[in-house]
Amino acid sequence: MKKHIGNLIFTVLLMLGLGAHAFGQSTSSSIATSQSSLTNSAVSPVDSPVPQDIGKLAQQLADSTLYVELLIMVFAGALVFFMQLGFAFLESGMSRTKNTVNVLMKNFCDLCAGSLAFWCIGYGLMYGANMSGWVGTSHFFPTHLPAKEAGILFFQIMFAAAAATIVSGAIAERTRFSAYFLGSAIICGFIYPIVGSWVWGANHGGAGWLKQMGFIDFAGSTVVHSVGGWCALAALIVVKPRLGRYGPDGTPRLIQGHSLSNTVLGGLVLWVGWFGFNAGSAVSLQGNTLQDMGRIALNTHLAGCAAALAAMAALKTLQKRIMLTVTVNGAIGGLVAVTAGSAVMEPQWAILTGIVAGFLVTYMQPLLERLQLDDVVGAVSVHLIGGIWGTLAAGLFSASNFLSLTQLYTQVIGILTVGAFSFSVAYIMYRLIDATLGMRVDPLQEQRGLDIAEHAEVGYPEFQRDQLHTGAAAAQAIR
Amino acid sequence: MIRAAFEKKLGLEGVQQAIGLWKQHFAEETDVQKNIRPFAQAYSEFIGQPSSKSELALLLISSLHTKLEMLPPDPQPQPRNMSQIATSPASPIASTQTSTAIDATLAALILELHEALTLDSQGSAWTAQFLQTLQASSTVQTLKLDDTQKDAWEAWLRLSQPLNLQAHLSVQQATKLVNLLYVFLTEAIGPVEADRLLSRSVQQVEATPTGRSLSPRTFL
Repeated sequence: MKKHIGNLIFTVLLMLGLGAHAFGQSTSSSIATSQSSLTNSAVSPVDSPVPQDIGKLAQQLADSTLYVELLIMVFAGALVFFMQLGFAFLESGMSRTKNTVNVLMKNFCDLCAGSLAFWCIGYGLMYGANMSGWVGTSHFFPTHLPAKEAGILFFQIMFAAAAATIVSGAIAERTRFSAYFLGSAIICGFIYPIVGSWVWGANHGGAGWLKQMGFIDFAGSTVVHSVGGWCALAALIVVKPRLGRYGPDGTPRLIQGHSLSNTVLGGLVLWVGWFGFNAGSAVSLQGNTLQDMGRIALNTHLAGCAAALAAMAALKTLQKRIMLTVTVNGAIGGLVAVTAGSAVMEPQWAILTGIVAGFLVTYMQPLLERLQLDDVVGAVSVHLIGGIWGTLAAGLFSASNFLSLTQLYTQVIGILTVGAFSFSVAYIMYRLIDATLGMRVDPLQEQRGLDIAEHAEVGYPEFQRDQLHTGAAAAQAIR
Repeated sequence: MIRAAFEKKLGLEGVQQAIGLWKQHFAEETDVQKNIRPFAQAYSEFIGQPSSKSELALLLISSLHTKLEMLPPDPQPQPRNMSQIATSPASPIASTQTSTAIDATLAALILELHEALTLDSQGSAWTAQFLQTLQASSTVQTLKLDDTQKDAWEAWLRLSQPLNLQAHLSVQQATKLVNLLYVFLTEAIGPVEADRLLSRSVQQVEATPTGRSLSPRTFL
């Protein structure tokens, strides 16, 4: 026993040592080298060159800053990638068992297709030379990128995939896999980058027209979340509700997901990912400094907490029980909302942004149901409504332009134009996909579940042994 | 089974005529072989002309009084499982056998669904819609039943008579019919309840001899 404990302690110490060594190497090697070379005269000039002048030292410090930025950018990009896991958990948990594999496949594959589409076309449209202010026109299929730009591309690929995956949860359980797959690639390669070029472009000359107007969207309440929300809304209108979601008189019927454990786990994973999403943007996007990261992470966290509590309060005002799904959605709504202004507002305003988002998300869901929009995970209320509110809040509570009507006007212009573009293009795209591939599976496939119908696999073979749809006809259908 | 096979050749009316003629004038003779030729002659006169139909009627009466193993062999081997049934065109006799099983299992499933719906809180309102759905959307139009079958089907729908028709549904047709019912159920009582109700009905049918012979899961 003692031997095992000893081995365990040794292993942990070894891992910590290796981690510290790796971190030290990647972040401060230049600084350490410079310091030691200045103080330790015993080291030979060949092994550790003494800087000849202050310019060289400055260069080394700049390099070390770049290394730190790259490290943060890659780590933050990985956290945003981690959000895909959150989406997968959240969406599959809110779907029925018979559609689990399909939801997971959509989350997995939109990331792959979207990443490639963004590298091929999206990056050029978003960050290429943008003299008109409307779209980038260079750097398609980018190669031989400078170190920092490669990091930005990596980080931005994750953003594009996040925007596309918002749609998947909204139209789950009845959408053809191929249709969704194609739609995701187009969102990542075309819709998201064009909007991004207006707000964040460009890296190679010119600037987006909204950026020139002073539109504030620090990490993408509008660019990522509203765009995803608008696309989700268009898809919802085209694909129509699931069978029986609304009664003959239009009364909505609850279709519970199969695992609230997955749902809350997904929500928490998303929350973790959001620290990378927002704080990582300090390095990559807006020219903020590393010093801003702490405030951004703090604002992000506080807004999420406030929104979750506000969602619970909103449920009480609606005289409903405190529901886990609504609370999780409320928290995510707060995180979406604070994304736009997390770098420009003080914590109290981030909390207020979260509170309003929590109420809005909770109140909007029944309104969307009245319109007979069957949004399985509440993506429209969370990402679209949360995104719109967050963009307005960023304009209202910006520390430098507090409660400025001019700034608010700019924010409204941005929200409306992005909405008009994203929704109309997405609607036309989904209509075209519907006319060619078909957006919706047929009722028999919906009855059997998309796991069997589209993938010939089931999510929980042990628990689904008694499932209905294992007959010869189903087997024939999946052959 | 034999009768159903001959119905395909002679038609329902032709079979009834042949059997009626046999029972009326020739059935009293215990030795079938003594009367079989006179019967063929009489049937030929009855239908107005000597034709292959009289030969078929002869064969029909012979078959009805002959042990099964003495019949001509089935041109194709019997299917071993349901997927084989679903995919391969069987001989007329095998097809009839399969269709009978499909009809029986389908009828049992629909009956279970109907009873489950009746027990539902919505009661008769949903039941009436259920029957309307069956009548309007599926069987009569899409399955192309003849008048006799249609009458039998509609009588059964009104639950006034036990289902006793030979609709000769294929697995695909039965699957489509069950799917239409599922769509109705989801619209009427919601998808969660529809899944539960269909699942329960399937399990109950599977517990019966009919369900053990051919599982209703075949149609799902």
